[in-house]
Amino acid sequence: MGLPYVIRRSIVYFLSLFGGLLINFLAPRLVPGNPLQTRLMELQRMGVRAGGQEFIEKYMKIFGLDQPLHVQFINYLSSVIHGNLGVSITRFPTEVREVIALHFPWTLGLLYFSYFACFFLGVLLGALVGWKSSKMRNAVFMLFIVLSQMQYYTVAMSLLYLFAFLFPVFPTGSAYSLGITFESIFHQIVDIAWHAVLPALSIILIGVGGWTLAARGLMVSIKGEDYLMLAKAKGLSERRRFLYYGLKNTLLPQITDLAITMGFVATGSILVEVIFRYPGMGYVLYRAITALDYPLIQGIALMYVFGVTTAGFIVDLMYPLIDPRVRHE
Amino acid sequence: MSLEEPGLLKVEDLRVYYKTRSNPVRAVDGVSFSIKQGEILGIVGESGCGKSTLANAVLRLIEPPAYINGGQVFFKDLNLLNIDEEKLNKIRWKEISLIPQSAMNALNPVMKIYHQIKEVITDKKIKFSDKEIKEKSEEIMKRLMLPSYILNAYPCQLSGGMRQRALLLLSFILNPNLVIADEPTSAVDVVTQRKILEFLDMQRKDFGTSIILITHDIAIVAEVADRIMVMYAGKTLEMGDVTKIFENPLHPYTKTLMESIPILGVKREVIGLSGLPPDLRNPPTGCRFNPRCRYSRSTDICKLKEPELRYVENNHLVACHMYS
Amino acid sequence: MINKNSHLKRLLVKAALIKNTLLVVKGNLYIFSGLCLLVCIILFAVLGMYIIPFDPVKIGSVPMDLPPSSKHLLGTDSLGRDLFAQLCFGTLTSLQIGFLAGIIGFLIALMVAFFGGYHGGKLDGILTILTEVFLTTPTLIILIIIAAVVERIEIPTMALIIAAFAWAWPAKTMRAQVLSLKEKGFIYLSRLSGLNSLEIIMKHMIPNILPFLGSYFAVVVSAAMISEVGLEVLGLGPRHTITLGIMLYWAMMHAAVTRNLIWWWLPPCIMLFLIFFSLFLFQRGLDVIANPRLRGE
Repeated sequence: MGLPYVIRRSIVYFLSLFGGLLINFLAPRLVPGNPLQTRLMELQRMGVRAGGQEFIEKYMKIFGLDQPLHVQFINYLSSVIHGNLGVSITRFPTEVREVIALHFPWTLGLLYFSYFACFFLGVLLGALVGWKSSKMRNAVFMLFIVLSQMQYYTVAMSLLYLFAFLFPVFPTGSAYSLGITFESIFHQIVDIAWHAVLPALSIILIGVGGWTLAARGLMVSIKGEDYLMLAKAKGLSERRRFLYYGLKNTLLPQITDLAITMGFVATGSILVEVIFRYPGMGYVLYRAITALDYPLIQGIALMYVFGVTTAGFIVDLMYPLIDPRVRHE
Repeated sequence: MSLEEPGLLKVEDLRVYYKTRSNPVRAVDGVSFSIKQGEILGIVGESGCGKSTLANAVLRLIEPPAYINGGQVFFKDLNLLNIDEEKLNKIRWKEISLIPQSAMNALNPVMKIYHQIKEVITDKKIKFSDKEIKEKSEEIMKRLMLPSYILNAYPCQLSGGMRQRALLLLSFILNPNLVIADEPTSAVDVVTQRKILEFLDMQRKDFGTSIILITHDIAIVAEVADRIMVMYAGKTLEMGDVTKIFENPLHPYTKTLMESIPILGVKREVIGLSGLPPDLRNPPTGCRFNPRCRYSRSTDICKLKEPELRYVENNHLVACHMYS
Repeated sequence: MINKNSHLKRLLVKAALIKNTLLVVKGNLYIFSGLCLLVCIILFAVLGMYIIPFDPVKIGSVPMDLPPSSKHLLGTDSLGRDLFAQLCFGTLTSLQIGFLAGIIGFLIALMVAFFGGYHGGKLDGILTILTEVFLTTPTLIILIIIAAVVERIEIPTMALIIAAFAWAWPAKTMRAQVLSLKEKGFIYLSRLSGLNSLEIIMKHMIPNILPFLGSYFAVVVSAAMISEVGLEVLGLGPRHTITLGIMLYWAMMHAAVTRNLIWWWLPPCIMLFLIFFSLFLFQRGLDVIANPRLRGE
């Protein structure tokens, strides 16, 4: 660990971002056809009378489409850096960044809560099973392993069916009840939490299994280590041995994996949001795809790429600070 | 096998076996010894003779597939094998501590040395302030010639020799009555070896700590031990005062051990021991050392009957048919 | 005379190898059951297509929202299409795309891993960084960007796009394998004996890690199918056709879950689960062969 590691991670990180931006930029431009021409034809088909070639050229100048490709790219990069992601077509004239700002907190809340719940629950369960196996622990372990093989849509749809339709305990979607005035902030919070249960559960049920499996394997190998035997010789209670000698050594090495699996969970959360109509960025993305709102699609996709890679980058940089073994190699 | 002088620790006919698919491995097969306060007992034997298993058994650290098949371990009138885990935990480390064989991995890698020390102190409900803990640690560290910065370090930042000495610090910080040191000098250089041996001697002199020193290196034992016990294939072959045994080794195995030490200035052939230790799943009938014994041709009682550990003179016992 | 003998010997060795491989495959329960399950699924779908006379794609070909009956085994959807026909056709199409993308992605990974890992140096450095970039970027998102703008997605295009991002993980793992293989004695010998790199790779390296390669291939196909279904559920699948993911897309569009049209959304979910499960079994079996330590579990 040290400078070469940081440099390497930084290169990968910036290349990822750059790649995302590049694809964002190139994708619509590589498709044959002039978007203005297409739009014009659509308008004409709807009976709107619009101008001809000079009209197109005028608008091309306005949108900067007459410049060479690399100039356009630089313009694009600079506008992105300044936070300007364009204007949404379906919510014209609302800017993309406003739409994102509106829905971003929902995704953030759902995703981060569920993801970290997965991690801690999963590692704890795996550590417990690895430390001492019992019929109950093994059964729960197998349950989550099987669940982890399911897909997000299957679990989300099943949960929706079972607990929002068949036994209507939870609402069928949205993040909060509409058209209801609440008695207090507390009631509002409870309402939001109540709406978040099924979506969060969808993510958690699938995610726990992977962490559990890895944590169990790690704990089993740690149990054979000398320092654990000495901990028993020191007369330390089982609770202390499990937490400070077993769990701590199981938890730390797995933090790096957080970065790797974040992408998978983020994309899964999009599906979960769609199924529950949870008003996070994923659901808005889905609606934007249906409506072909390209600026919005690209803006949200860019946010996801940025979010996932940055979070991973931060974890990669922070990990040496947390694990002393890695720090002092 | 009863031995007089109750002393501090008394092990009676301890048997520790390992479960296998066939017969169990009889790693420790009826070993008895005792140790007084302020005494250093050296347990000597080759690899696989059961010394480490014995050490772990005293503190009831035996894990499956090993199991205790019989015997008692008396510590100040308490049978350590019978009392419940809670009581045993109070004794562990505070009255009896253990220095394990390999220090490389015996310290918790994610805790600073200082915290590991504080942990054992707090666990035994001893109320020392941070300042007191530091002072006590530094007293011992001085004796071990450990620099003060190790307290704030993680184990991975220390060299092998430092880790071994840090373990010693940890083992002695609660000033236990008995310390079981399992090969404390095997993995370190000769200079560190000397420091460790001197330290053990000092602890015994100044605090009256009893030490069970387990090693395969008989030369170390000659330096610091008061009594030694020679183990082979899970059994005790010879036991007694160190001077008596060195001057007059009785058991053929002990004789070979003594003869294998090169002496400066004396040119002589170094005689080794042919053959291998027996398979402890099916130990030979009679004396376990018999297959490799140079005197075995003269008597065949050695093949039939196991020799008992008997007194030959004051403070000198041997298990060999030549002396019964 | 000599030529004929050595030719015969080579045939015998090949036969022994094949026999050996077959024995291992047969003997290994996981691989066998995984393959069996997959074959059963395919047979089921093909059979279904032959038996059921309804068109899975044409809207309005049958009455809408009918519950399961003897005529429509799984009922019909809100667009007037038979669901059982959709299931069979969709399974085959999904598998088509998944395997196509998987094969392409796997071949890319193979090339990256071997040429990078074997030759080392600058090429390897660049390829490794490239692999890591593709690994850290969330693939589905990028796929969404691309798929959203490609107006008419057809099956080959979709497979290509998916493959373009599915190669990263196996490339990384295979490269690690190549690096450790490179150090092995027999590789060193073959280099000394003057074989060129391609021959060494093809004749000596690959045959020795076949179980690993098989396992990675199953993983790639799984990953490709996950991406594929992900895109389709969001509405970015191939047009005018039916896949399992597209079935789910339409089901969601028409709120099938809350309208209690369980026969619409549940069968594709189950079918997808079975496909992933069979791939998992297959991959696990190969893992066990490749890594004998796991056999004890």
